[in-house]
Amino acid sequence: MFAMTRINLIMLVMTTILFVFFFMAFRKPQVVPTGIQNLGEMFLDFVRVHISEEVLGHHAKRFNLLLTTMFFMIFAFNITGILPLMHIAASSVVAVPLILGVASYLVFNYAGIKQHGVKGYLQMNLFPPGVPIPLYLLVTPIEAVSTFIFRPATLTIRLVANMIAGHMLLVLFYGGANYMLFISDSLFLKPFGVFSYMAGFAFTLFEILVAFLQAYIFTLLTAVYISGAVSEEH
Amino acid sequence: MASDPKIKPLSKGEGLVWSVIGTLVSGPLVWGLLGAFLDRKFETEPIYLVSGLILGFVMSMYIVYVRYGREEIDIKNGGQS
Amino acid sequence: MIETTVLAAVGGEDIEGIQLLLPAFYDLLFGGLSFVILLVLFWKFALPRAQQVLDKRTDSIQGGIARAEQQEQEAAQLLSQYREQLAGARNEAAKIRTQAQSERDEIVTQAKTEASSAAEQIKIQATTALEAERGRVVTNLRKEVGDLALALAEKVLGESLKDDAKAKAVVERFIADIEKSAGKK
Repeated sequence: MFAMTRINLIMLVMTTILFVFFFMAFRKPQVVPTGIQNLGEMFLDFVRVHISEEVLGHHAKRFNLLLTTMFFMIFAFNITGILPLMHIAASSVVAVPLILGVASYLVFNYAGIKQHGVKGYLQMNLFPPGVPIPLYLLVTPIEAVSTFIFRPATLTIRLVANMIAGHMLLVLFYGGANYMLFISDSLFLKPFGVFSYMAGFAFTLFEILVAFLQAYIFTLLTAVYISGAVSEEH
Repeated sequence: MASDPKIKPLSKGEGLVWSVIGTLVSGPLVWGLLGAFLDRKFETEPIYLVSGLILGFVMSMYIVYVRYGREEIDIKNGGQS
Repeated sequence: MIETTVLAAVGGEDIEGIQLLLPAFYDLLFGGLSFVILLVLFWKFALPRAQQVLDKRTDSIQGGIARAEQQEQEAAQLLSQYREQLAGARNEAAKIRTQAQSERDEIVTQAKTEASSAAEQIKIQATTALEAERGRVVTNLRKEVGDLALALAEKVLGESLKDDAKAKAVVERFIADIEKSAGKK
């Protein structure tokens, strides 16, 4: 009945791990935190302080839930690309970034409309002030595309492309190393195999950074879009 | 956005960069696609496509100037954005 | 070339070109499920609890400051209270000393008064007794002098003064004359 792929299984495993981690961390929250609670608080504080509050200021409270969920889901789904046994990012299928991109899209448009009303919000985004009226004919379609299509599309594509590219690089180097070291009979290729293996290892470390960075950028841009939508100016 | 002192330049700048890129890509995309469609209809490849791309790019630059450029100039001249 | 690598990367499944950007149904299902589960986890569990802890921490810090302030106040109050008590005790001591002084003075005065009044009394009594004695002596003396005078006069006159009353009057006049001359002297 379920046509469950390996990636789907990875999604469920990572969701479970996140669930268990945060459950353990805040099962019996103490005023003076210890061990796992400390870690949990540190993670939550990172998103709250360095993304929500830094970008959204006094609006941070309303959107912190979405940003927190986004950040940890993306990071957990990204990091599986370098975890043993999994070796593929759960976010390297377009569905995951798409769901998050749509969530981001819905929320920043909702926030903007709530703040400025439908008319005010559209005017703010589609009709930049101080443009001669005939030029709006040329300007407005561009603004519409860049705000309402380009933003969610770039969010989605940036993440999925990064994850696929990372996976490709790792497959390339580890696969190459494997072939050159163990399958090929040519002795000449062995040093390249070692080099390829080392490059693969370096890229594995790099992918940890990318996993974090992409989660951060996705969440940060969502916050920036929301901030732009609820800003008093323009 | 500029009125909120809590927003630090780093994240604001990052958002700004992506917004500018979005605008710069969207212009040629919108008018280039329209041009390509017209080219196909009137079999005039690639006149409309090229004009569309150029028009889109120019308009994108113009939007970037209107939205972000003038603020910069204001800051330099008068100190209020 | 890139496309084929992508194919290899995604795991040999039949995905081509643009299909890479079209989500598979089960990916959407499980991705969506994960998103909802995590959303609920943060919404109903992690974030409220983290906030609670944060609030409590803020509370306890503020409470600590308030408590310290209260203790300081209490200490200051206690100190002033002690000072007051000390001053009170000093006052009390001074008062007691003053009182003792005055009581002593009073006692001395009283004792003096009592002593002098007792002396007075004794003097008065003595005076009275002396007066009475003198009176009695004078009376006796007068009588004796009278008798003596009478006996002398009888002998001088050679006749008995039969009439006592007349004799007595003569004697009286005689004594009075003597007293008068004694008083003049």
